[in-house]
Amino acid sequence: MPDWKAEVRKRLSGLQLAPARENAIVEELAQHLDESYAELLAGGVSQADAYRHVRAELHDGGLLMHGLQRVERSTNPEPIMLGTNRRTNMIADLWQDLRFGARMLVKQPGFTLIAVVTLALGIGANTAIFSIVNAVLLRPFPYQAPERLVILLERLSVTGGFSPSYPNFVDWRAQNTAFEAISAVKQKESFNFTGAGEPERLQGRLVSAEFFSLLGVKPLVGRDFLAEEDRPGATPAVILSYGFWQRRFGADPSVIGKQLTLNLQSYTVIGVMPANFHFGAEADVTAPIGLQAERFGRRGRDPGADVVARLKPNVSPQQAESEMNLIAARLEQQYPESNKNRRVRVTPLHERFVGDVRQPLLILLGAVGLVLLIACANVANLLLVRASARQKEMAVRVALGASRRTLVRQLLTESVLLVVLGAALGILLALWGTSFIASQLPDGIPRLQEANVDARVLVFTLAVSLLTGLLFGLAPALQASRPNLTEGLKEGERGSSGRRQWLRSGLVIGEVALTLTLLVGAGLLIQSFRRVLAVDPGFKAQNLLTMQLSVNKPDFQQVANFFDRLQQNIRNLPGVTAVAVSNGLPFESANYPGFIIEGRPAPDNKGGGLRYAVSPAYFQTMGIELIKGRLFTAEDTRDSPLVTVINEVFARQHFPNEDPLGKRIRQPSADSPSLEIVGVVRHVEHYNLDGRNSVQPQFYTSFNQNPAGHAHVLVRTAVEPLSLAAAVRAQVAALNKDQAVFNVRTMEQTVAQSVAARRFSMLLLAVFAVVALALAILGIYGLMSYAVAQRTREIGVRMALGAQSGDVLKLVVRQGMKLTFIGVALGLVASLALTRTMKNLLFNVSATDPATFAAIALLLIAVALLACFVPARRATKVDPLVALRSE
Amino acid sequence: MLDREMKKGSAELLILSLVETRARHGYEIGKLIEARSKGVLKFKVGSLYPLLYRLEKRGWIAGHWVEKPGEKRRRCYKLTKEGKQVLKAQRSLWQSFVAAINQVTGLENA
Repeated sequence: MPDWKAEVRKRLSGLQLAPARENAIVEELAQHLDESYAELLAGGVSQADAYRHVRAELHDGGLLMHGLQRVERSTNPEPIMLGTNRRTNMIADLWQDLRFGARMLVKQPGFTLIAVVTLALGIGANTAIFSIVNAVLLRPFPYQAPERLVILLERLSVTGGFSPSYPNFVDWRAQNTAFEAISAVKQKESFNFTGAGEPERLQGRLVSAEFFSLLGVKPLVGRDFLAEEDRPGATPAVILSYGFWQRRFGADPSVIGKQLTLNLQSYTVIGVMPANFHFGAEADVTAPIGLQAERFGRRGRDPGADVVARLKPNVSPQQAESEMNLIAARLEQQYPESNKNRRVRVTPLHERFVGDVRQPLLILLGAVGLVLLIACANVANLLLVRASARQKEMAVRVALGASRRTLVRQLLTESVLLVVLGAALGILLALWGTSFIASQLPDGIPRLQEANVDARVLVFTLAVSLLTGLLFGLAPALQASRPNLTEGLKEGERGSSGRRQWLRSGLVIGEVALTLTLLVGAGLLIQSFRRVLAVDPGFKAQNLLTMQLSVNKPDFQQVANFFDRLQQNIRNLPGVTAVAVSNGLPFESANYPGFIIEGRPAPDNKGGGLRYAVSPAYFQTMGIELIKGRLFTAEDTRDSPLVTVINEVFARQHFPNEDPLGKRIRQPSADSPSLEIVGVVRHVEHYNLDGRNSVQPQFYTSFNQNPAGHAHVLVRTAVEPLSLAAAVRAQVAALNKDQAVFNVRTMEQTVAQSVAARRFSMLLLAVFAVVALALAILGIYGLMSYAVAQRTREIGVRMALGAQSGDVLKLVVRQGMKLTFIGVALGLVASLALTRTMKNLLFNVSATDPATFAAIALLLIAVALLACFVPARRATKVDPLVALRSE
Repeated sequence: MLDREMKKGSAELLILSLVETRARHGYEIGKLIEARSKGVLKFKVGSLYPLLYRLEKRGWIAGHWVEKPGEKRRRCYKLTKEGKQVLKAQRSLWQSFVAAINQVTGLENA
């Protein structure tokens, strides 16, 4: 007798079964083969033939191995081996599941459409927001070792900070040991580009020679600045941005060595930066700051410059800050007038650039995450309804031998198909949404222009989608795959186990709770926004046209004459009621010099304030109220005593118990002239309407006594302000055809710009909240419709027994509202916890504002009531006879 | 839609029916199917045993070793309570399936 055990054992070896199990199978099968063999011999077959025959049956194309593998697989997980039968089998199974799933989805286009669109909204919104988070927060800056780059600011107290003066920067550069390199950078410089066709006003930046090498960026064409070009009197050199090079020179490499006339001075083009180079504000041209060192030459006086530096390896920003503070203390001793109390703040570049936008972006990311959860809950609910409808199908398949695994796999495959379709549509939505959101976002959010759907975003979407598919697919699949055989196979039974009902109710409760949280967040932001808009900025922004000019004239008198004539000419235009010029404008820019009050002892005599140099008509044009004293007049000229007007904050802080009129102030440096205070005016918001930074002293000097080439022109109009823009430009051109005019806009636009970030996060959160509300309502409505359909018979019986339609209405509405109330209660608790995170985004509204919480809860309850009412009405229309007969 | 399960289901139905009244071992089941179907249906070792193990795993049949004096011990299979329910359901389904086929083909013949 052949040793069948050995034969069988040999075939089982690949399965790696537990030894006991293997022995049992070997014994059982060997016995079977023994009997076959014995029977063949008994039938007269030769030993050799019988052996061959039985062996062939055992072998049979690997049937046994294959079959056992599938049965024993669950208890004996083994690694998937490439090249084994099992792999092809898995793929065949998967293919079959996919085809089957696709057929099921096509069969119910309504369900499929709703589910896919719901998922696409959730996944698309998440992808879009994440692609922005990715671009702004996650992607490293395109500089060499960006983590060692820091920004240096001067500060007078623990908070805040401002750009240091250029002489201070020069001392920092000479004395520090913490930095590999340190560079000044003055952003938003403007250059009038003339002598090459149409005059154009260019955005520019002034930098130290080491700026680009410090960042680790090389020019695309040409060379970097040399140290000797960064000095007064050097041959002026300029590096162009890629965009400007394309636009004005058609990307011609021979531009290197050409001369450009900028601010009436001739500059030699030495290089062009690569297209992907950005640093803060965009700049068409970059020139050495040292060329204009005398303009920046006064310590403790504007204009200052930003300072960027590269830390030496293994030096932390804190260590650098300590060292810089020692240097600052030395400078304070050396220059007590200008450097009193000045200390240094060292902030990582990344923090400085994205610090302000991190929180709103993360909150938005959290919010879209909630929207996705709600979308998942909705699709899960749809699947559960569908599972109820398919209960009979499931029961039949189980009875016919489909294992639970097979069913779960099949149902999950359908979920995955839904998610894949949803994700595909979602990515399309995100591609569109990302550029839409990016275009809606306010200026000044760094690197936003680079937001796109890249590999990291796709991985994120993939992960989110898979998670989503599992989240909404698994519970229904597990539920559906456990059908009750006897119930399920009965004719006409709409099986609905208590468990499943419970799960669906739970999902609706969760949806309501999450929706409430989103609505509360949006509600708080909307409240804040309304209150911000209601803030009085201290001037009248309506009907005010503003623009900027940068006049290059050799002396003060010519500048003053130019602006005098310009104001006269504009005032004569029809529709103009007042005209003014100023250096410094709220929501735009103003200098922030220090000042001392004459006659006060030195120690406590320190302060700084926003300074605006304005023409006499400025206050009337802006609509700023005079509180006491007088405003500037035409008699305040360069030949008359120097005067100043201060704001009420200045008066309150520095002259709490005395009359400021007649007092004198001057800037700290010894050669500064002293100014007599002649008037006090209302405070004006300067940075933003929410006033967090701007309750500070402001003072005005007379533009006529100290004209500046760089000025704003303000025109108050009786008509739509922008309709006069062309006429005003024409007046400028009439005086000087080479004079560029820029930033032509209304004051209302400028103020709106300052709340753009707030408006943006409010709008997005509101949109998410509304989507969430729609989904939640759909969820409640779906659940109640289903419940009514389920209870048709019960309702019919009740009505046959004399229940009025009001009773039925109450019955159904009560069921739905119970879930809503639980959801609202949970949502309120969750909101209390979550809205704390957005405290900083709120204005004059508490994060737990009872009015908002109550209003939102009531809104949600009202809408939910409506969603319950529709199916409840349907229930009252049940005809008892029909309901009873149909069963 | 159900063809995959149908094929598998018919094989399962056969086995469940055979172990309904008394416990039988694998060789016996194979022989009985072959004999009762007059050789039309035949199970080879490679398909019979995986099927038995699957039904056992699902809890529809239970196998145990039976020892008789003078013989080698054998593994015998018996229908469980759950298996009975399934068999009932499968039988009625199969009957309605066959009836439906008969009805259709019968009508066409008429």
